[in-house]
Amino acid sequence: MPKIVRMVVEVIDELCTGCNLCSRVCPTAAFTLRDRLSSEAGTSRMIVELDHAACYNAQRCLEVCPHEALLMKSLDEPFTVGTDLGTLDNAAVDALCAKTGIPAAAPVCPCTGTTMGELAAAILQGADTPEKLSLATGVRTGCSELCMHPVLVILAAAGHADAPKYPKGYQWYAAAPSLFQHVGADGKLPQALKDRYPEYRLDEEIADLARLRTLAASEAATKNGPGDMQ
Amino acid sequence: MNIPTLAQKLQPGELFTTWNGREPATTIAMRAADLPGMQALPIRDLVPWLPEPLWSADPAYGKTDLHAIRHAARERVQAMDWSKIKPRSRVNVLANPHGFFMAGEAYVVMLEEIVAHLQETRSARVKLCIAESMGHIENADWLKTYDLEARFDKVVEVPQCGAGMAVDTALGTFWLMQPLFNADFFVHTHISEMREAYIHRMRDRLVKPFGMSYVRLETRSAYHFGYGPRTGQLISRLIFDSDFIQQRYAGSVVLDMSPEGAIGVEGDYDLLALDRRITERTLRNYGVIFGLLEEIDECVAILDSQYPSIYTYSGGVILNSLYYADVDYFDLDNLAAYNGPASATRESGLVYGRNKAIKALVVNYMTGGLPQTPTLQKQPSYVVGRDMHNWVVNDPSNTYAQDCLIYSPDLPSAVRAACKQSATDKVFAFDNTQGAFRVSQSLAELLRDRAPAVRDRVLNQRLPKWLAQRQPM
Repeated sequence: MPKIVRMVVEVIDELCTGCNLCSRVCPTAAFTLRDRLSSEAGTSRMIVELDHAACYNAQRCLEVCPHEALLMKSLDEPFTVGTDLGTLDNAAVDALCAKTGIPAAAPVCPCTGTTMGELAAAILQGADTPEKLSLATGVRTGCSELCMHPVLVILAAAGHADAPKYPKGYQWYAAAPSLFQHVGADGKLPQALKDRYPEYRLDEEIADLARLRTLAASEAATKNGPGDMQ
Repeated sequence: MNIPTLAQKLQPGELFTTWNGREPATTIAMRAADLPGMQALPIRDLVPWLPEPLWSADPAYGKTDLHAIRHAARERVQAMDWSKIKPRSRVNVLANPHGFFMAGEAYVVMLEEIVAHLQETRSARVKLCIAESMGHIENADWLKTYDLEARFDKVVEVPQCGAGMAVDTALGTFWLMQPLFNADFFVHTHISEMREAYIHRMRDRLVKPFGMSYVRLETRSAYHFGYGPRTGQLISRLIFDSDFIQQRYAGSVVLDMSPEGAIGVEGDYDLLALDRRITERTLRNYGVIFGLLEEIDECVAILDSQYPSIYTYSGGVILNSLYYADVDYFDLDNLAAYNGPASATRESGLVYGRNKAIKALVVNYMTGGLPQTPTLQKQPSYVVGRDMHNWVVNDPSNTYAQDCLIYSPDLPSAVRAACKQSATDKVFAFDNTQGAFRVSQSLAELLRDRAPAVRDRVLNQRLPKWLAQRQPM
C-alpha cells in the first residue's frame, strides 16, 4: 500500500543553528548540513538543507529539534510513495521473505500499510539500506516501533547486513536477536535458556506457534491457495 | 436537597496540552460524559473489595491530598538499602509518561521523594530522565504540565529515536536508549496499572520497560516480531538480567494503583520479588473488570481521552482490552496470537477472535503518533469535527486513515449515527474517568447484572489458576 504524504517539513532559516540533530534521526536522510549563505537569515555558520522530495512527513525531526526551527506545512498536492509488486517475480519475493520467517503478506508497517513482500520487492529492485527502503516504500516514516526489526532482518537476509550507516546518526543500529533464530532443527530452544527462564515455558510457545502454522498450511492446501488469515 | 452520588460527581479525565502546542481541551466541543443518558458506573460497585485509594485524580473521592503519597513514598524509600550508590555518584531516576498520565501529581511527588532521599543520604548527583516511549507526535508536555524543571535540579526527556547503546544479553545484543543509562547508577520507577495486559500477560509486568520504554526502536520492534505472544517479555528479562544493567541498577520504586487511583508506594531492590507482590494484588483488583469486558455483547465505543485509540482508558483499562476480551490472556495456557488461520478458533486459545462486540467507533478525541488505522478499519469509525479529522489524516502514522473515516460535525450526531448503524443503544466511552466506566444506561445494567457471576468465576476459578501459573519454578 502506498504512503500518502500530505505534509512536509520547512526549515526556518533564522532559527536553525546547524546542530544537525534533525539529520541524525530522519529515516529518509532528507537533511544535509551546509554552510549558511550570506543571503540567509540567522547567525550560525552552518544550516541544514532539506531535500523536499525525500521528506515523507515522519516528523521525527520536529521531536528532537531543540530550537523550534522546523514547521510542518500542508502540501497543495499530496503525493504517494510505494513499491509496485505487480511487475516482480513473486517466487523471488516469497523466497526472500521466507528467509526471515515473516510471510510476504504480513503487514509489517501498519503506519503506512507496507507488507513484508513490498520490502522484498524494493530490495530486489535495488534498495540495499534502510534509508533506501524507506524512500522506496515509506516504511519507517511513521512510528518505526513495529517495522524496524522486519526492515533490518530482510536486509540482512538479502546480504545487506553491513549496509553503511548514513548519515552518522541514530536512524538504526542492528537487528535485535529474535527468539525464533535460536530454535534448533529439533524445534527446541537451547537448554541453557530454558533452564534459566523455566517460567516462560519456551518449548510450549514454539510448539503452539507450530500448531498455528500447521493449521494455516492445512487450510491453504484445502483451498489450494493462501491461508485465510483472520 | 439531593446529595450527589459518587457516580454523579465523577468527571472525565483531564486533557493536557501537547508538546507541539495542541490543546485538546479547547478543541473538543463536548465530552462523551455530557451526552444524554451517559453515566459513570463506579468500578467499586462491580469490585467491592477494591482498597480505598490514598490519592485519586478526581476530587469526588475526596482523596486529592498528596501528603499521604509523599509520606508513603518517603517511608518506602527510607526503608530501602541504597548503599550501592557511592557518594557523589551520578544517578538517573527513570520515569515514564504513563506515570504522569495515570497518576499525575502523585507520581511526581513519588519522584520528588526518591530524588531528595538520594541527594540527602547519598550525596548523589541525580537527574530525572523521562523515557518518551510512545505517541511521539503528541506526547503531553509533562515538563510544563507539572513544572518539572523548577521541581527537579536536572530533568531531561529522552526520545526513543535518539542515541542508542548496546547491551549484551544471553541471547545477543539489544539496544538501549543511551541517555537513560549514561550515569553510574539508575533507579527504575513505574506504576502498577495493567495497560497492555494482553502483551505482558502480567508476567514480569514491572520489568517490561526494560524491553520497551527504555530501549531503542530495534528492540521494541523485535519484541513484536521476533518473539511469540507470550514470550516478548523475555526481552525485558534478558536485558534486566544483563551484566550492564545489574551493575548499574540501584533499586525500584513503584506507585501501586487501583482503577480509582494510587493505593500505595512499593519499593525493593529485588524487582522480581516486588513484581510477585504486586501481581497478586493487581490481578485481584483488575481481574473482574477484564472478565466483565467479555460479557459485553455489543456496543459503540467512544474515544474521548488523550492516548492513541487502542490505549484510551475507561475504568483503569484500555480499549484494546475490550478488543481482545474474548480470550482469557492471563491464562498462560492460551497462546492468544493476534492472527491465525480461521480454523484456529478462539476456543482453542490459540488466537484472539477479534471481539465482534465493538460495532462502531466514534473518535471524539485521541492522540496520534502510533498506527491506529488498522483499528479504525475493523468497524465503522466516525470522527468528530474538522480539527480531529485533520489531525488524524495528517498523522504520519495514519496516512491512509482517511479511507475508513466517516466525518461527523458533532458528537451527538456521530453517536446517533453509530448506534443506528449498529442497532444498539449500548455506548462505552473511554474518557479516563477515574474509577468508573462511562457507559449508557443499557450497558450499565448489563454490567451490573453480570458482575456477581464474573466475580465468582474470577475469584474461584481464574485467579487461583493465574497465580499458580506465576509461582516461581
